Amino acid sequence: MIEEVDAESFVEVPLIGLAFRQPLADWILTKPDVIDCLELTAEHFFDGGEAQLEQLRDRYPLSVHGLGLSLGTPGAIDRKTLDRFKRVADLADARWISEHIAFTKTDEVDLGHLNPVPLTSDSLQTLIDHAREVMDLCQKPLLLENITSYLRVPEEIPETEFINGLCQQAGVGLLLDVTNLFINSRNHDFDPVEWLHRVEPLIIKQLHIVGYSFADGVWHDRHCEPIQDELLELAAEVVSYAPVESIIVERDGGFPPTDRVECELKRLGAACESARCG
Amino acid sequence: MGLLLRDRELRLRFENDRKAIIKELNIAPGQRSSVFGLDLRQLDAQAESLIRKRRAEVAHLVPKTWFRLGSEAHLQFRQYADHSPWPEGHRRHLVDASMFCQFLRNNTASEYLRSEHHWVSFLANDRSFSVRLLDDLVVLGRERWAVQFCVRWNGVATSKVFRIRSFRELIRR
Repeated sequence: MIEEVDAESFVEVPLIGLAFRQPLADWILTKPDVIDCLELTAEHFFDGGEAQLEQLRDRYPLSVHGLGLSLGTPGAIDRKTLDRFKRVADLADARWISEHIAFTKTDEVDLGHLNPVPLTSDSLQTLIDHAREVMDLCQKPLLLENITSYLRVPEEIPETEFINGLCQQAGVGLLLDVTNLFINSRNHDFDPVEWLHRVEPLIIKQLHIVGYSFADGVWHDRHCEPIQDELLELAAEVVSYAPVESIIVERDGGFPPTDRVECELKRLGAACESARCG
Repeated sequence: MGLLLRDRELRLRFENDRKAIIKELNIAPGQRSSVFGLDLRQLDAQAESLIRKRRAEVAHLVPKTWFRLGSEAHLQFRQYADHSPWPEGHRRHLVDASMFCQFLRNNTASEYLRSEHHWVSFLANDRSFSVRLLDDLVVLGRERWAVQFCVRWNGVATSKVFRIRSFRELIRR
């Protein structure tokens, strides 16, 4: 028998997922109930790992996250890196692909990590052009992520306006890193919730979250701490404000036993569900 | 801006004469005011964070060497980073670790471990097989001779170390 239901009574909650890291691989491959989706770092599969990637693809919806395309660098994107990125995205049958609003290299130097771009109309155009190029090649929806930085580049365009313009003109979504937003707000003294409400809600598609570190009077994104309460509250604020589709816990080190990872994911899921349901 | 983040001396010169450095670096007209207005304290903090991230990756890749260096590790890495080119590409952390080991070797640091150097150098290139004679395999607190084989098969790299026993030890067994 088919029962008629009120569609309005359904509330979609975001998928809760993990960034795939080898120390958790065996557990992840058992497909625990608490993991709805996974994020793979493209560079981790540039030199192989296809068999593992196929196993993951058979178990989870995947997103592929890039670190080294350096979309904020003027000039052409490094074609070799882009082709490798596309290959991983294709093998993963990625539901989303993502990169950063940042540069990692220039013509002279490969800095190897993310750095802020000047918030100018020139940089905006560079990012728009590069984002379109990545999407055209990969034929998948692209999300761009806000980074954390100790360096605040003087703004010609306010950051939130820059992000809104980038997403709208390039046709990409925002991967909002809640931890990065929180850390920047503490290190550069602004209100993260006010910042959030200046971002167009419909562009926010995915979240990253991991605990912050605090040392020597400065907040850091070392990606090895459990999620703190302030971050959960901020994530809940984002989920109630925007139609977030998925949230990825992005740990790079200090991996706890899997039962604690499980608890963290459940706690995050519960916070998001209550935020979404009001 | 990349060069300012990489080069400590350039940042010092920038502190003294911003206009001259902006001209020297041939910064695009649209970016000049942004670069001119950079906060030097923040620029230093960002530059240090790049070194810190490199250091953390290298420490993770050569854990025994790092442990043997103890409190000297940060200083040694700083000296290495200040006088070496920055590694490039998606294997940059492996290249960095390999170059750091080479730096320790060149400086005849007693903490240098040939086996870890061989392993990260193997991972950093495309070879499918590599073998090295080691004289620093630590067994029960003593350094011994050994042979290390590194193999890459179906995209998976593995390493095995076989200790070489002396003729006297073999007779004793």
